[in-house]
Amino acid sequence: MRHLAPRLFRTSTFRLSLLYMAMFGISIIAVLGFVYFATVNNMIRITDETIQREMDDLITEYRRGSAKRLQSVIHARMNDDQVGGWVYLLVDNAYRPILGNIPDWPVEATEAGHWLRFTIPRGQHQYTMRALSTSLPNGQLLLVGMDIHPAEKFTATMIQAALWGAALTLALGICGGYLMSRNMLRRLDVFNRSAERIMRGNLSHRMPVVGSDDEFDRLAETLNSMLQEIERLIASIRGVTTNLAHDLRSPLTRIKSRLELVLTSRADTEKLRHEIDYTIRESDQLLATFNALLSIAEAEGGAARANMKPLDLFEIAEDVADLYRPMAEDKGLDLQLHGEGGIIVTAHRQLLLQALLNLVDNAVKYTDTGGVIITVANDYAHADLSVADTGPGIAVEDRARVLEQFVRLDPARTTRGNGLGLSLVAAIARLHGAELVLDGEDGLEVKLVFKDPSSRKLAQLSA
Amino acid sequence: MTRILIVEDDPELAANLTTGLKDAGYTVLHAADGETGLEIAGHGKFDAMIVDRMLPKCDGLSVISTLRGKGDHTPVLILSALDQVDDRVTGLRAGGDDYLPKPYALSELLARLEALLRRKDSSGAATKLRAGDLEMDLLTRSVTRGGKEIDLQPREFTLLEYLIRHAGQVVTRTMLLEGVWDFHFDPQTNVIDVHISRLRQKIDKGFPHAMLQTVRGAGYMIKAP
Repeated sequence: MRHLAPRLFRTSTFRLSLLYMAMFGISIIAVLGFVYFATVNNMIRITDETIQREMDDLITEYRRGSAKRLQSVIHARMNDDQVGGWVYLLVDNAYRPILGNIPDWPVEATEAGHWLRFTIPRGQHQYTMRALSTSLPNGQLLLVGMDIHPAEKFTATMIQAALWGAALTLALGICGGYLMSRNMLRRLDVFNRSAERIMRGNLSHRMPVVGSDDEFDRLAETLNSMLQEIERLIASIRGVTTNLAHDLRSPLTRIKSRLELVLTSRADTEKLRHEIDYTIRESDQLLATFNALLSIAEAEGGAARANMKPLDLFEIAEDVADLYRPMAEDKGLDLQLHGEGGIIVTAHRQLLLQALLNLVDNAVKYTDTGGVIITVANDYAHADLSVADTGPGIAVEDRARVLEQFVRLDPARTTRGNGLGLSLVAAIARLHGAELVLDGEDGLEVKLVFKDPSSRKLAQLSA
Repeated sequence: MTRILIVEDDPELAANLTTGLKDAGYTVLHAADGETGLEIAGHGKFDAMIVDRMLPKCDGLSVISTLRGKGDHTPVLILSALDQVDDRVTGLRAGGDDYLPKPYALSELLARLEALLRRKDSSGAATKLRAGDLEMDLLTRSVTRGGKEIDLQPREFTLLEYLIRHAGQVVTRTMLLEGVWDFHFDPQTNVIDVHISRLRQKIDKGFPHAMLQTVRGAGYMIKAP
């Protein structure tokens, strides 16, 4: 966990939690602000109404009686007010106090009939008062006010709460973000270290699965199956390279030694011609091996997918059967084609032709008596293209192996071939999403199973 | 003299090709890149061109489409290391007349070049083809040799038609697979030979002159006496 802290703040988790925190903080402040303004406004309105009523009462008393009556009412009110929440002051036209519970006319009350705010000292504290002044017909001035200190205190509490809330959100956000990011980083670090080990060449290393079945475990499982596939591919490439080297070395050695012999033997023109002819045939075989490898690469590359079109399987089978029938007849074999047209699969015509040609070529080559049957069949879910022969067949345990590149079951290698024919068929099958099945009890049956074929007849029925 | 322009950047391949074509009696000019190729093609009249696909400065397909854009319809044989069916299609679409993947046999190249040069000469759509005393009627789909009716399977008819259209030229096995069966890959089998020997049985048996001849190491040829 070196350099964890500075990296932590750059993680996306940390940034995300900061963002959430900011949004949360803003909403808290907004809610508190709304409550604050609503409450404070309401309190001021209620206070104002109360003061206004009191003022109206006093003026009514004045109108009913006289200045004398007003003074006695004020006096009574002052005595009633035990809490000291009210202020009253009656002054003459020169602002000299006549009656009241504050000593002086506040300087803020310049104009009669206006609302004002002023502070008075009471004990140690300054109390904020809200008041209304009015002038009486006899020239005297009256001021009625109320202590709004509780409202002020409430406001202060609200602001304090908002600040604390914001501070707490910030602290929790940073802590939470830190913890989440640290957790995330730790798990990602494990992935990074595993990936580095694999890159350094330890291909069998795997991403750790902790068993929590969370998204990290699922990521690890996906990466592991990817690594499995990569390891398999690399192993098969290594195998192919080695086999290729082996398979090319012998013909090249043959060519070289024969050419050396010719060089030293002073052969005549006819002999030279013969040797050159031989060399050309040997190099043709080498080129054929490379061409087969390139065809496999083409089928595996998937670029051919762009040229896939709906094709009638039976027409493909007819083309190949037509090409091989004379050869089979010459060998005394009965080449039959079973099935009917109208089974449509999406395929690359040339590659599919080549796959079927390889299968039929093998069947005719390895079968000495009996026959070869090419069958095109389908049901709702899949279409089959199969080639069955009455030849020696392939032992069950060898069936998977023959699909690999350069594998030849004939150990003496007396028959012509490069061990790539079935690999090419397998690659073409994969390109078409078809399954390649090796079967058969007497002889061999190789079947290409295409999924989701479309039938021309079905299409006509629904049209 | 038949003039051929080779546009090929590999000096050794170009030298081999030049020698091979000169030995076959052609007059050969060589350009080592696409721009030079276009320049030479613009100045002289050629009977055919052999153009490599991968070229410095201006690639082979651009050379061909530029030429075609100028209204130059010289037959072009494309050479390419990209031995893949789909590349073949792109090459032909760009205006090439035939496509030969590397590595190729010189005999194959000569056969295809010959076919290209003849294609230019052949006039219109004949309904009757003839080579020596062998006659084909494309409308009634009947074949006679020396007045004697020969019964052919449909595929044998197509095979013979292809051979007679190229009478006097070498036709390779891959040319037959392409032209008669529409198989654009080299299946590495001798399956064509069987078809040829069957056809030979039908058209040559009982006649003193064998018209369908095997050209060793290259292919087949219909040759009138």
